[in-house]
Amino acid sequence: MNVSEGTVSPPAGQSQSRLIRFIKLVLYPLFWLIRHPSRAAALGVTMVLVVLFIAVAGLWLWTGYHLAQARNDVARGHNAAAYSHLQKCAIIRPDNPEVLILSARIARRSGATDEAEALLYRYEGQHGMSEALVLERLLLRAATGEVEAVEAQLTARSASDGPDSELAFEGLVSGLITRFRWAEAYRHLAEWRARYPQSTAALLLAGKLEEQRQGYELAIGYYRQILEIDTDQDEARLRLATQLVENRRGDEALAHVEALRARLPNHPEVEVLWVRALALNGRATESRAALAECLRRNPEYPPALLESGGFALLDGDEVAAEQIFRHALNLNPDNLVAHNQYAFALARTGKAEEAAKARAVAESRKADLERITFLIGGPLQSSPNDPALHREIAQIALRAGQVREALRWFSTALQVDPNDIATHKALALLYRELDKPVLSAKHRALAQRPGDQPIINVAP
Amino acid sequence: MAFWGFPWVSSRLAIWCGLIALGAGLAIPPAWAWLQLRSAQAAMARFRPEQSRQAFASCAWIWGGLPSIRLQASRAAWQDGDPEAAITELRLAQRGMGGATDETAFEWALIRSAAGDMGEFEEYLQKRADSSRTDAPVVWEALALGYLRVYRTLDAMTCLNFWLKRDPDNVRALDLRGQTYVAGKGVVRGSEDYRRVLEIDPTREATRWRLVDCLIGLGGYDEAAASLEYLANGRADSGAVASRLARCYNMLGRTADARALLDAALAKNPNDGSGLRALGQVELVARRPDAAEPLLRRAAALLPNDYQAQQLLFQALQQQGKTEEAKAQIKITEEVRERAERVGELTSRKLAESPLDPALNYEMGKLLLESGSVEVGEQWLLTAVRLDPMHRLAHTALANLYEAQGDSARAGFHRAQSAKQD
Repeated sequence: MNVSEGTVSPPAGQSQSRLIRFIKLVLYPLFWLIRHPSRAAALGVTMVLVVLFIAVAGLWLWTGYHLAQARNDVARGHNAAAYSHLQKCAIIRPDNPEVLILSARIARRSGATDEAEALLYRYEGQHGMSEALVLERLLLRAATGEVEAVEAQLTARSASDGPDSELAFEGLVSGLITRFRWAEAYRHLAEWRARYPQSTAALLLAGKLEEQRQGYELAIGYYRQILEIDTDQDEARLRLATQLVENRRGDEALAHVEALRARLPNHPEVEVLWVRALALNGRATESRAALAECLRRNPEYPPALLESGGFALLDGDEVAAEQIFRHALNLNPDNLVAHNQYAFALARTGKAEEAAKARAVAESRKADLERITFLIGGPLQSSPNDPALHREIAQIALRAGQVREALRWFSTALQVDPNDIATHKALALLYRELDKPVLSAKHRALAQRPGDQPIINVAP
Repeated sequence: MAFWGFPWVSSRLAIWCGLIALGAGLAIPPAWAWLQLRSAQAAMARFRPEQSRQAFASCAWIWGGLPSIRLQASRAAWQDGDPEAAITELRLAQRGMGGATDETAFEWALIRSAAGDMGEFEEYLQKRADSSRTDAPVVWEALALGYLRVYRTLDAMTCLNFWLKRDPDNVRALDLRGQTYVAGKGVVRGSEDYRRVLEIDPTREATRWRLVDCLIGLGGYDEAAASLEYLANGRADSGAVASRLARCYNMLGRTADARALLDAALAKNPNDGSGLRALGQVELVARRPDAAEPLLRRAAALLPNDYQAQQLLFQALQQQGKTEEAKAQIKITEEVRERAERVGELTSRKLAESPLDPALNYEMGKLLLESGSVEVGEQWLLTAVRLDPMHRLAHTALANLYEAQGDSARAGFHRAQSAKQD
């Protein structure tokens, strides 16, 4: 007998029994289940319950994590990041009170006041009245310019040492900035910064206030301070980069825009800043490629179209430039640069008459802009409660096609004087144009004080 | 096996029959309610709130506890011009739902607006109409009804034109615009809208009635008579049809037909004021003032604010040479005419232009009180003091009214308010 053969190749019967043993081992659980059906059922139910528990607990922890992140981001003013976390929370817990309040806060900070109001309405319907809701409503009213109505309550909250103190300051200052009440905004900002020297929210609003007052260097200084405290403050970096590009400081701007691109990919505003920063740094080829990519993603984005028109003019293609500027103006009729560039392109293509008309429009827009700047910087500061000033700014905004802005100014005119007949008349006509017959009727009725002449003849 | 001694009925058959009868007994009421519900919803979709209300009432016998039925019944009620019933239905719906919801809040806003009290709901309703295409028509309807109720015809017209721009053949919008034109004295344009409604749906009786009144006002007696004959189908003796039809016949020279109609109608209802007035007019046209006088006296008593009845009575007296009585009658006639003209001016123009003017609201209330419309007049006076809490004349009028009603508490309050302004 060959030993090695015996060791290496076991007999056929032994090999078969090993295979059977292996199969038996593999199928043992199945046999066990068949033999013990009641135990099997109990085990199955237990396993299902365990899996369910793990799934529910996992989801709970997952949303809890995102909610905590959102809370933290909202507190630090990282609204974009917070929004992304809240979107995830809303998949599982859409009516969670904190999710609703934080979402409303972000909507308010982004200027989406209607959305914020809808979220607060939903909160009230689901959870009833609470201190968080009251505070957020006050902040929202302040943000829409109703500062007088909420000033006392927000001032009381800002004076306390509670967690809402900073939010109250934020509401007050942003409301005052909305209303261009600069002196009071400065006063509250000074108090806020004295109590919370490291507050990035205070610095951000200080920067916005300086931008509004055309103190761009001061604004840049504030935004830089914010980034020293918190490098992830995207809004401050975006505003800083915008100011640097506007002031043609391309080298410094480039680094900030690069950081923004990494954090906010495909953001059209950042992409256009990137295009402009590259151009300022003499990287024309890259700038054109970036613009092409931006326009591919956002073909109707007016700032990108303006850049494209500018490149067409540089290339000597005035016809293309004219078409691009016209398109940009159709999308955003308020842009003064676009008006000027359009007039220039028309003149270069030999359309003197059209160019003159376009130049006249640009001049008129410029005059309106200068008038607004004068009104805001002078008379509005000395007489903030004169409804005529608010109304005049609203009418200028309306001429420029800025309906939303016009409505905001008309609304503040009525806040300072709810019985201002001229504003009611203007609103009655405007709402009629906007196909809002109910609001038109409301203001028409309010405008018809005894002795007034009717303003609308609706007989077709 | 025979069933209880009936050899030809097996027990098994009897059990089956019993089960079928039980099943049918249980199934028929809900099936009937379901049919009524469908019919009510169909009527609502065709803008026939009166039919819809009837069907909802039948459905409520079986499914009255369902809040959704109550909510729909509430809408049908305000669409039919009955806000009080709408509020009752809505309260039942709200109770069934365990409290207020978005739906009930929307319905409250619609009811209040349709009743003419839209002050605090305008922005909410505008937003709702902007955000939901399905809700928009009902918002325009409620607001148009409300504006019409308080004679804000310009505002009603704005809403209705907006609605018709989106849905040019909507019978409800056309009908309401017709009413708005007529309220603003645009009778020709109103009748055009009514005609269009009847072209689309000739079975709309309420619109046909409105058209008839327009035509009679415009002197279109032949067309009015044709419409009235259509309406009279099967109910020629109805007072309202008979008096109008007789008036048309009379003006078209068919005096005998007019007289026959009115005789039949008055035999059924001797106190039909408009029938008496029409018969009196027939007698006057036939140069029989002596026969006309008693008829017109009764008509004038039954319809004290009807200028035509008073004027015809004056003519009857004058034609008989009863100078003194005629003199007294012309005074009453002039008072009624002046009041009607002033109310007409207020409702067709002044209130439309300045709906929030407390002086106009006061004047309207006072005129209505003088003409005997106490409840409506009171509402106008209350609106006047709501618009101007220091309106002395409105407080005085309210104090006098409540005093006459024996409500000393409210009378005292308004008297005190009035005294404060002196």
